[in-house]
Amino acid sequence: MSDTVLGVVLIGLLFFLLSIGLEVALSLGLVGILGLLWLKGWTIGMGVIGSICWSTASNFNYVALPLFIFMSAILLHSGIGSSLYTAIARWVHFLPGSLAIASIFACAIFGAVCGSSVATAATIGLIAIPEMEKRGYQRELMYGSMAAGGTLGILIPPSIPMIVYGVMTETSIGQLYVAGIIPGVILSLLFSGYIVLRCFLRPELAPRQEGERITWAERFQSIVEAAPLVGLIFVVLGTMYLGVVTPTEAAALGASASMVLAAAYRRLNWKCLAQAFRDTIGPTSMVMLIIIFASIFSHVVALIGAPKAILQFIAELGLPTWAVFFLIFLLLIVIAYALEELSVMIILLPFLFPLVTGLGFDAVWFGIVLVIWLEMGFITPPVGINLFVIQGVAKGGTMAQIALGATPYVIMMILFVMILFLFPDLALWLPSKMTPGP
Amino acid sequence: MNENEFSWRSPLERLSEAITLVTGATVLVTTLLITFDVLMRYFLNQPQLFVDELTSFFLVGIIFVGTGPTFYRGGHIRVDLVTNCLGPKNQRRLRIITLAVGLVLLGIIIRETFISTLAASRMGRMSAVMLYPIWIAMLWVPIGLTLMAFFMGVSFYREWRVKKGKESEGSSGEPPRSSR
Repeated sequence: MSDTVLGVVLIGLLFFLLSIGLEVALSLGLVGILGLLWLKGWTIGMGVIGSICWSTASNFNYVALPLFIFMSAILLHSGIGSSLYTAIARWVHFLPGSLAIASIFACAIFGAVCGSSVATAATIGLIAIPEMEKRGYQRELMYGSMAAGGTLGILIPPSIPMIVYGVMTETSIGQLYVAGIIPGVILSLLFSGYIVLRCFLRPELAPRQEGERITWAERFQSIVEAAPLVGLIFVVLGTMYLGVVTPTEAAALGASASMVLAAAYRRLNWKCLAQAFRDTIGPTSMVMLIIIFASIFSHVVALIGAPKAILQFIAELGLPTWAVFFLIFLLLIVIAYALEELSVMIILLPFLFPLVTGLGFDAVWFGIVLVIWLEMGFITPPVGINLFVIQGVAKGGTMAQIALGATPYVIMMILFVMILFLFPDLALWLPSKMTPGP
Repeated sequence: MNENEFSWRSPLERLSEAITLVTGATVLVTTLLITFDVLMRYFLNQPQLFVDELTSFFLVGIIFVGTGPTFYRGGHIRVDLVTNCLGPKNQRRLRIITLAVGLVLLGIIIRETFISTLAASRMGRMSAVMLYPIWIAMLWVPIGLTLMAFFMGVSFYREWRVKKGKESEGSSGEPPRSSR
């Protein structure tokens, strides 16, 4: 059997195993092992499994993963993020749709201390949605803004998908983090601009309360209340940007600082800690097992030279680079509607990364594009995780209302990827100014 | 579930919870160790060389020991777009097959990772900096996967009993949370 045929058979088998409901990690492991057996035989092929499992699982860079998840879980269960929403709501009070805008900015800022989109949407959504409901905001507007705002949690560093991408492709996680800042801020502004425009044209979507005034004293008071969270941002991002710590160390510092904060607010108790443990272990084991078994699969992909073959095939097509990129992105968008995105990213990276970098795209830039694609997947049905989170938080909301509300934000994200394609420096300028880490 | 049926949920739940808390505590220890290292390095210029290696070893334990309870809670992602189109009986049949495939696969990986661990022990492989014997950390891989296989085996057995009509639908061995 030629390598090309073997590659096609293995990918076909992978899709078959996924479709019959075998766990994603196990599907990857099984296909990888069968590929190894075919190519190397039992003795050599099986001998590789132990070393791949060990070397992937003991990679120090991956230690950041459970630590950032743990930090997010502590922030989520201690409820520290609530003061942030109130503070921002007071500062943007004069704008049409101010509470929806506050949701976006609160998510963006909370995203700077939390690497999880789910934790961001849940933390801010718990406070923001009841407030917006109380003011009679249109359901689609409030659910859409919350679902989309939550996704900023993975674009604005720290970001769990960026760790996965960085380690899998040997791209600097620190650079990826810093590269996410400007796109994150621009997307937040785009989302907010859309809300302002929509509520300006149709004020009934976000009714303002007659005679409600926020004094400057109240505004400054809210800054004081939210200051500890801003301090946490410095602990996580500032130390990393200044080159004082590595991303893994920043994760540990952030998790420790979150516990200190939670303790200072008298919200760190056994219940909070136990819940944070539960929330940390599940996603860590799930993602890491997929990564470990995907490493076996990637090993086979590399052995049969699939990325090189695909690159050669595309080169022979004679398409311009931009066309290839948009075809890839289109394919990703279609997949985002059908499958869980992080798993897909892990499965596709061994093929995609060599292809995209081979076409001349920057590895850091592509990481940011992939994260925006993940964000889109988080708010597209049927498997958009943020839609489920918002449905859980908003007791009366239907999935249709939430998905409909999130649709304009998906379009904005697609537009933003095009902007990023035209102006890659939006992502690459800040990392170029970074101080190297320890 | 009728009165004569043995309730699996409670002991499994407790086992899963206990493992989760222990692995969670390991995350906490990892957090504190790395923080200690950073503070010592930055303020006293005394980097703690043991931390990087030790926490990498902890990570192996966290991942693999935590994978059993994660399976029990339905935390391992599955694609259910196709299986959702099937009726409950066919879904159950397919699940029995996928669980059996998973068990065989885990059996192979457990065997191979255990052989690697034994080899590391016999060859006296040590970590690069602190010269810790690597086999101790490597052992967590087959141990953790054995735990996962145990939870998977229980799930398989219970799905099988439900299929044979010996247990009611509600007490199915599938994880309590739906997975995607």
